[in-house]
Amino acid sequence: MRIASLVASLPVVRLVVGLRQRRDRLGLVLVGMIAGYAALTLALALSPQVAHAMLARFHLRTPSFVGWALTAPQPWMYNFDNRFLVADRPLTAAELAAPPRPLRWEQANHQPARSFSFADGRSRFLARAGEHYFYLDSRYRDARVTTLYVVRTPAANGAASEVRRQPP
Amino acid sequence: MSARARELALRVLLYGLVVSWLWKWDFWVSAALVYRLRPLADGFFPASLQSLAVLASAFCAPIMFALAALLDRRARWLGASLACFGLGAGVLMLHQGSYNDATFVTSFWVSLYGVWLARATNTLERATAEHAGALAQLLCAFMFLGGAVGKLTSGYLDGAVLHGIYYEAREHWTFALSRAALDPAALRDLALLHSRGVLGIEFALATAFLWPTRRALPAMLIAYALLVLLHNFRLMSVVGPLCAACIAAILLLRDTRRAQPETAKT
Repeated sequence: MRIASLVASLPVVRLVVGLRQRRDRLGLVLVGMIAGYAALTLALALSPQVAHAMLARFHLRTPSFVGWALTAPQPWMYNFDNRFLVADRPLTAAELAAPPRPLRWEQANHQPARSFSFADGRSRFLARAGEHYFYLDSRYRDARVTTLYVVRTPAANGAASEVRRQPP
Repeated sequence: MSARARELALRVLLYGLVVSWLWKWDFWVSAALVYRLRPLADGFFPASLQSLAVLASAFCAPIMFALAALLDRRARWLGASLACFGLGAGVLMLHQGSYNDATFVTSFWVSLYGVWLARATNTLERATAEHAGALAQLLCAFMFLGGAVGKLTSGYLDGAVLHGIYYEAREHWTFALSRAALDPAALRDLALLHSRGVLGIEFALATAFLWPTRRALPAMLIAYALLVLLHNFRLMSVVGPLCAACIAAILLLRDTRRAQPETAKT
């Protein structure tokens, strides 16, 4: 009896009961969305398949853009152990394991594909014309996703750099 | 709940969103120049979500609409302006040039919260303030859950990720001070302590949706303030909308509590 009254007094329970009583559909949809994305977040820790899918999302490798877009509202800030390495030629497996100077793996707080897509990455790495090799590596528990992007930057300012994904 | 408190809460949300989007205005101006100079053709994104014009419109339109709504004394456009922010954040969350900025994830959720609040508070019921408080704490706890679960990996548990992101070269005062005072081994120990501390706090606050609302909302505000002060002032753009949601809910709850004794008298 005491447990039931304790549960009934929880803010989240009172919220859901109140929204249902008032037939507040928008409120219920919002609570439902939070519950759905929270379940996805918890599944990340419990399911290697979900973890792999979420790591692939950080590398822009979700099979469809719509699928990627649907996961965008899930709070992903400072998730996973992400690294990236940028080179002007393809690297061997040995070089990736121990990069020759001055190359080095850099830590990224999240979304390591930002290294070429976001403004700071573009101005830092795409200023010179030619091919740029972006190696991305993200890990979460036992799951790991590695990706190689080749970005070809033309000499002319204002011309688009072309992004291609290649098996690393 | 008074009409005045309701209007104030909606204004706080809008101010929070405007300030958070303009917090890095200098970065976004230079980003627009970079995107113009160095466009990127990536087949993953639809063409519209690679367009600089779409990025600029989705960024500027909500801010301009919000400024007009905030200047209007009759407060007719506050709800519509919050909906506009939700739309803009939804686009920017998916755009090639902005998808990785968490500002637009927090803004998206807080805009939805604002749209709900604008609609729900039309009735001016007392229960709405309680619901607004509970929904704000649920939303913020959900954000902490996302941060905490994503860090359950060896790189965070041994401190290596935070060491690489912050302690190696970040110029923020806490990390510059740590580098000056500690040798590399002690710096690694500090990063380990820091990483586990962050994990502990995030997991604790992920349960805040179960706490009494009057304790949860200030606790989350303190956590956001510490996050910005100790890590990176630019993070204000990410946590600004969440702080605004907490403050708006606190204002509504305070107004309701103040009105209670008067209702009892009559």
